Formats: sequence, C-alpha cells, structure tokens
Amino acid sequence: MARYVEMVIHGNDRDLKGYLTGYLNVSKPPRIVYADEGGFQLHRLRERIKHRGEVQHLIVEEENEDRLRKALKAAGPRYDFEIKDERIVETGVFSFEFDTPSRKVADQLKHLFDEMPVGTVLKDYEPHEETSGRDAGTEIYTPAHDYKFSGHGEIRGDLFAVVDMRATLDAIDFTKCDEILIEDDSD
Amino acid sequence: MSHDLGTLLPAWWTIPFAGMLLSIALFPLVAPRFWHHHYPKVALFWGLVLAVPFLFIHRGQAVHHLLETILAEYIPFLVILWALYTVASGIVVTGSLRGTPLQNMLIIAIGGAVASWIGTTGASIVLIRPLIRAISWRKHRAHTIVAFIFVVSNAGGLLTPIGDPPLFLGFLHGVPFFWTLHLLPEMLTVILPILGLYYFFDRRYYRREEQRESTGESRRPGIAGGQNLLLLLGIVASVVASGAIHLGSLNILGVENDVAGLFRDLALIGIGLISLKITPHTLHQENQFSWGPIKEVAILFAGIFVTMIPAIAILRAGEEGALRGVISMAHEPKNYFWLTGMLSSFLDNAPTYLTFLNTALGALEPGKIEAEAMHHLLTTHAHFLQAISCGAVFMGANTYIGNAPNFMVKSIAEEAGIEMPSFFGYMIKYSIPVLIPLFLLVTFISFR
Repeated sequence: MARYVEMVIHGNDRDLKGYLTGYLNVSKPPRIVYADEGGFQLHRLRERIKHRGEVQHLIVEEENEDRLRKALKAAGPRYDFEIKDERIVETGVFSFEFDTPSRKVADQLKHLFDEMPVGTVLKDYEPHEETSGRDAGTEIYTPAHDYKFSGHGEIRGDLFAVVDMRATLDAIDFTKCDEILIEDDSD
Repeated sequence: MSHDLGTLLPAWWTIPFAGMLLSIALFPLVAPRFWHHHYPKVALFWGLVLAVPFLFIHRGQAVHHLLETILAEYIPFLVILWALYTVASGIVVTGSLRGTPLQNMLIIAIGGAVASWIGTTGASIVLIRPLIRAISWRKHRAHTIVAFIFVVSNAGGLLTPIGDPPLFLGFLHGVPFFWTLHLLPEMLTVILPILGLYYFFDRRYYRREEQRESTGESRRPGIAGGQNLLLLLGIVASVVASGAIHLGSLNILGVENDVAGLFRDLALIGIGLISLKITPHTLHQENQFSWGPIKEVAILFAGIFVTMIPAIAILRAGEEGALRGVISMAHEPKNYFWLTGMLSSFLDNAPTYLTFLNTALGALEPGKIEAEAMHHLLTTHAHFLQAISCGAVFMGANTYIGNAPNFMVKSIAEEAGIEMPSFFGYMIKYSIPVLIPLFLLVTFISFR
C-alpha cells in the first residue's frame, strides 16, 4: 500500500498554496492534498492546542516528501514556512449516506459502488430501494415520489483513493459525506 | 349569494374550510404517503362535515348555495384548468440548450412572459424539463429551479385570468379579462430584480464550474406541437369573448347561469378534445402527461368550493357577519396585499383570493348585489383588488406549498437528480431574503 506523509506547516494558508503551486509547477508536479480541500477531519482539540497559530495540514506521497521539503526551505524568510509536525500515514476512512428519489442518481451511485477504486473497500454498506409500483406522472397537489434509493456505508483504504472517492461522492446531489479520518496506529 | 345567511352563520361554520385548506398545506409535508393515497377521503370528510349539517339546518337555502357554487364556480374553474393543462401538455420545447447563465435567464424570462397566457402550471410543465436538460451538467443547479418557481410558477401568471386560478375566480365574479394587465408594473417590479439577481449569481457559479466540452450534438431549439399554440389562442379568445358578450342567463336547477359562460365552457371542452385528438402520443410522453393532476384538482377543489360557502357568505356580510374581526384587520390596500399574500404563502391561493375579495366587498360595498358591488370596487377601490391579486399571485412563491406548480417543479427536479432545498431551507435561503424585500418594494411603490 502506498505511504503518505502528513505535514503540519506553520504559515499563511494562501501564501502556502500559492507558493507551492508556483514552485512545483514543473512537468510532473507532486500531488498535494490540503486538508481543507480534501475534506479531512484534522482540527481536533489536541492538535489546536499543540499547534497554536496559523498552521496548515497537507498530505503528499512519501516519495515526494523531499521535493516538498526543498520547496519549503527555498521559500526563505519571506514566508517563514516551518514544518511543525509530520507523520507517515497510509489509509483513511469516511462514512456517507444518501437518500434520493432520482433513478439517475441511483444508477450513478450503484455504478460507483460496483467499481470501487483499487485499494479501497466498501464497508457496512446498506442500500434500500423502494418502488411504489405506480406511475403517477406529473402531480401537483400530492407529489409523493414513487421511487426511493437510500443507504449508508463507509469507504476505507488507500488515502488518496479515498480522497478521490469522497470528492466524487460529494459532488453527487442527495449524498452526504462525513470528513475523512486519517487512520493512525497511535490513535 | 344571500347576505341574510351570512349574517346568521356563526364563525365555526368556517372550520371545515380551514380544515380543508390546512389539510392541503400540511399533509404533503408531514404525511406525504398517507396524503397521496387518501386525499380523496380527506376532501370528502371535510365536504361532508360542512354539507350534512348545512343542508340539515338551512335546507332549501343551503341547496341553492351548493348548486350555485357547483354550477357557476366549480365547473367553469375545472373546465378551464382541464383545457389549459391538456393543451399545454401537448407543447414540447425541443433542441439542446447549453445551460449558460444567459440562456437559463432567458428560459425563465420567457416562462414568465407566457405564464399569463398558458397558466403558471402549463408554463411550468412546458419549460421545466428543457431547463433541467440544459443545466444537467452544471454543479450548482438548485438556485435555477428556485428562480423558475419564483418567476414561471408564480409571478408570471399575474397578467390575465388564465395565468393563475385565483384570477380566473375573479373573472367569474365579474373582473374584466384585461383588467389584470394593469398589474404589469407590479409584475415587472418583482420579476426583473429576480432575473437580475439570478443572472448575477448564476454567472458567479458558472465561472467557478468546469465548463462542458461541446459534444457536437447540439440541436437548434424549437417547439413541437405548435398546433397547440393555436388552440391556446382559442382558449384565450373563448374566455375573452365570454366576458365581452352578453347573451343573458339560463336557469338551471334554480341557478341563473350566464349563457356566454356556458358557451365558453363548451368551447374549452371542444378545444381540449381537439388537442387530445391531434397531439402525437410522443409529445404527451415527453411531458409525462397523465390525468393525475386534473383528478387532484377536481377532488380537492370540490372539497374547497363546498366548504368555502359559509366563509364567503359571512365575509360578504361585512361588519354584520361573524368574521367582522377579519374585516377590521384590513383597512388599506397594503393590508390586503400582505394578508392575502401571507395566507397564500401557506394555503392555496385561489380560495384565499376569493376570501379576501369577499372581505373587500363586505367592507367597502356592504349590502350591494355582487355585480354592482364588483363594478363599484373596480371603479372606486381598484387598488384593493390590485393588492389582493398581487398578494395571491406573488406570495404563492414564498413556500413550496403556496402554489400548486411549486411542489410539482420541485418534484420533477428531484427526480431528475437535482437536490432541492428543504421546506424551511427554501424559505430561509431563497424566499425570505429575495422575495420579501421585493414585496416590501411593491408595497412602497403601489400600495402605500
């Protein structure tokens, strides 16, 4: 399984993103997932206490760690980025739920869960499909839907694959995703 | 309607009417499945709760009121809605639209412009699916559907009695067909800012979204079922003619019926049947045409019209009636605008319009026969009727339950995969911040 490095960096959010985007703008830039954009659950109380001031969480593949370090170092005193903490992480998990009257959305979700990305697993998935059996057409005063697809579950596995899966699910209407919890042996 | 009965009836006779309206407002929210399966029984229940004691106590007078309501109001009301629904369901907007802010705004503006001529329900049926197809690739979509509800399903219906059911009830009670055209400034005061705001926000969302690559399959927009447009003209002509031509009256079961109105209803039935005959089945399929909505209207409005009889009679009695408290709340056009509007936000706007029209007649023209009272209201107190009309039509957009097409549009959008705001989400995020300031502006400009 791929390994990643989660870094906690002291510095301004916009400065850091802008600087790294510009500095690493090469033919094959490393993928950086920022916690606030990736939907991670990171800002727990103990972290807030530990890292007072303005800190940013980001995650990169372990093989790109050195490139990132170099980039941060090159920023110099102008930005004063400082790595406050780091750890090796591998997997993440998030839970989701959905409830839709749309057959189109239902097909989209079924297709997504049938073809889970490599390195991820679907756990505790409980879908529920209901069809009233009537085709009422367009209604005005009693518009109860004649179809419903609801369910909930959990997606666990390779961190970046989980990030991508969450982004895909989150973009589908009628679906609600919790934040990604990075799995850590020390937790 | 006799004023004597209105002065005799105590206020509790209006309980079945309130129960009927609250059932329509609340059951779809709190018990949608129960409501879907049992709404005819609920309508029958409230109808019987009123009709049995009413007939038992007031006998001949009650029979006359019931027959008059059914023959002079309920049947014409049902016939025009049936004809508009049938004909509008045969019109399909074809082609592919790109879902850009300008195109979306134009579709909504066109819907607002035609709603007065094919009804808010008809315009919603014809245009909601093309709009949903156009925005299917967009990330932010709910605000487009909400703008559609504001303009096409509600405010756009203000200009003619065909536009919105309450205005047709006004027409049946003597408001001239073209009188509502005077409400164009109020309509534009509401619709133009909504379109402007919509364009502003949609453009911001559009710029942040990934743009769709052209699939190369674009088809020029067009209209299928164009023959139904001619039939719509026929509907307008029939309604206009029935108001302009006077052919006397015909006594049916003791009720005086306007002969021109009878011809209008026959013409509307004929137009509807022609539409059914000439419209290709595929066009009806595109609009998911079924008789479900008309069945709903027929059953629920039977309950509404029957239970409404005592409320209307009491209100028409003015200060001498048991609802003098309601009448005393409204002194100026702005009171009528907001009272009609706030009730239309949660109850069906057709009976609400009629309730406040009769409140105004009771307060301003007490003791006069309806035709004379209406004539006087239109000539000397027109602002009151303008306020009632605007309140009933505009404020139906305040909630999903305020006007029948709102729920229909929400339902169609959800089934097409667009997550719509909840009942309160719609109010907090959209109708209160956008519509209420506009209604205050209308009050300031027109009903001070």
